Amino acid sequence: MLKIEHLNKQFGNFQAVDDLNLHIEKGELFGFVGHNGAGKTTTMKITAGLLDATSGSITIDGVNAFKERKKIKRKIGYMPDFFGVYDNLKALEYMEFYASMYGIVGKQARTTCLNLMELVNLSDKTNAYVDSLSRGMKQRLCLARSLVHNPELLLLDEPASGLDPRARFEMKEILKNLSSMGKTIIISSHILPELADMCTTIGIMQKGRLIMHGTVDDIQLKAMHAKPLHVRVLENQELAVQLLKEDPHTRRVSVREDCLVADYTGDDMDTAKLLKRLTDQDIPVESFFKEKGNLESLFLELTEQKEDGGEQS
Amino acid sequence: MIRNPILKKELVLGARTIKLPVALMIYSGIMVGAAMGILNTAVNLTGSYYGNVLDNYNSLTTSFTLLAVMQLVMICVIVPILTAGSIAGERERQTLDIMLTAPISSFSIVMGKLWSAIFNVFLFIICSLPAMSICFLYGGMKWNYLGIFLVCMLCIAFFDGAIGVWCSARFRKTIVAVIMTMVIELVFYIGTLVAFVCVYVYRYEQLVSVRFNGVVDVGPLPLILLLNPAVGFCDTIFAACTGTRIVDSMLSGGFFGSIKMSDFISKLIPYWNWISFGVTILLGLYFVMIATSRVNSVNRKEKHVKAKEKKKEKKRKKQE
Repeated sequence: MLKIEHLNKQFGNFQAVDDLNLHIEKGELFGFVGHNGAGKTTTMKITAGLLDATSGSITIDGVNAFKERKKIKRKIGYMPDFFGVYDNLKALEYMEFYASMYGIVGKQARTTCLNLMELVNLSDKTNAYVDSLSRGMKQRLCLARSLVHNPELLLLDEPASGLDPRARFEMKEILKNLSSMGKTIIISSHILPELADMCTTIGIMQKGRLIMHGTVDDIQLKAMHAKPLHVRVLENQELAVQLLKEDPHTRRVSVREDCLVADYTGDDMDTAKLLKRLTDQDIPVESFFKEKGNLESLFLELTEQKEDGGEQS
Repeated sequence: MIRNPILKKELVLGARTIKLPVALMIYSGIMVGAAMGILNTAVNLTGSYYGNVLDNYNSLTTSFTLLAVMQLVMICVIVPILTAGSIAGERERQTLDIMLTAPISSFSIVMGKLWSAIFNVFLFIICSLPAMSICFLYGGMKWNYLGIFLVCMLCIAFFDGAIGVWCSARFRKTIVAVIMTMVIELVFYIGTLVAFVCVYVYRYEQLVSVRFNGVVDVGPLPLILLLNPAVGFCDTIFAACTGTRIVDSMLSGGFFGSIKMSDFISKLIPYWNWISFGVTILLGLYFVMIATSRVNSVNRKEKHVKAKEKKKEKKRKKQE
């Protein structure tokens, strides 16, 4: 559905998007995660045709997004991270205004807009002024607005930002519903666990680069594996360090005051074998445990490493 | 035009604000005040309410031209306020990005904004018609004066509106756009007149110091007045209502001596108002085009890149 190849975007000396390659299949619910300024919004804006790329290409459903912008506009529904509203327009009028921009007018527009407002649970707010709606309602209205021309690809830039837990939950349910309808959805956020709940695939961006990309299961597995191993020995610390370093799953060992901490990527069996090797050498192991991994810590770790200029396997 | 969604939305939004009726009330109030003032002055000048007023009623027919010029000045102030926030306001509200993702062209967006401003200008003019109609009470007025006045105002509103929309697309803040629109208007309406007078005075001084035969040669300078829509407007209205050609008076009789005109310019004078409005509309269209280009910067850059690529290809072919 969406194919981004060697995409680069430079603002003066600042590289906002750096050689981005991304393939998203039809019907996928893709989560774009990254810190503020990671390049998520820039990528979305380029895809939506609001910014030009410095180099690279974007193909949407086989159509070159840079050469055939008019065609692409009908395939994309875009919801920006921050959007304004017209104070004196009613919710239904707001929807119909945007419908008319896609050439949908009259009865067809009215029916489409009412159906979409029902989809986002705003049927009772058709005659309410947009300005009088709560933030959550405005977000849902904007989502309905982006669906007015029945796009195949939805670009949602932080759709849940600034919402209370209830509104977040409602937004999530709507997005899952849309995904089940076969829409390809790209959502950006800076909270990985939030996206992991609903997305099928996730891409983590840092300084314009896609540093990790895969299914939610893959990333969760990596989160578990990439956690540090804490080993506390009462004697023979040097030998313990040596054994840890010899293990092929260990990347780095640091010696702290009370324990050894290793970046360990092995699975449960590998961890058990390592413990056996230590005890076989008569090293008195007082404690041996692996930190529980979660998506948030993985995200922080990944982005921190990239900030430091560290390498990521 | 009627199907333009931006225009529809602008008209609905405009009609729902309290600002428009308040502005209309103030505008009509000023026009009625001015009309009553003119009427009162004319009556007082005659010295009697029942005697000479009717004899000198012809002087009252000129009140239409005065009110028309007054409307021109007021419209020049109102249009920047109506248009300067059009694109900048969408940008400030962050609704422009959403608009640009829709398949509507940048030209439609600009024209939607411009037409809504022109509609509002006509709303102001229509509301001031009762004040203008005072002139009809005294006769000597023809319906076609009103028609000519409305056509002239359409041209002026289009020109001023186009400048306003361009400034709105060019400058990010509404207030900056309003100020810049007024500055550009001043350049066209006052600047051209000042330039004309300055060069005239400069040439006069030069001629006086040598040998002066009472004729000041200003070369092609009078053409600068074609850029001033007010000159064309006044020329048209005065010619229709009083038979006096403002441009002819300005160019044939100077302050210190008559102006020497080339044959080319002399031939232009009978058609001056038509040419002037043609220039006004062309300038308006130019501002619309550059505003359109500004609104969709992506397309503008794309065209620029494509043009560069074409140039490079041409160079390569030539080298081959």
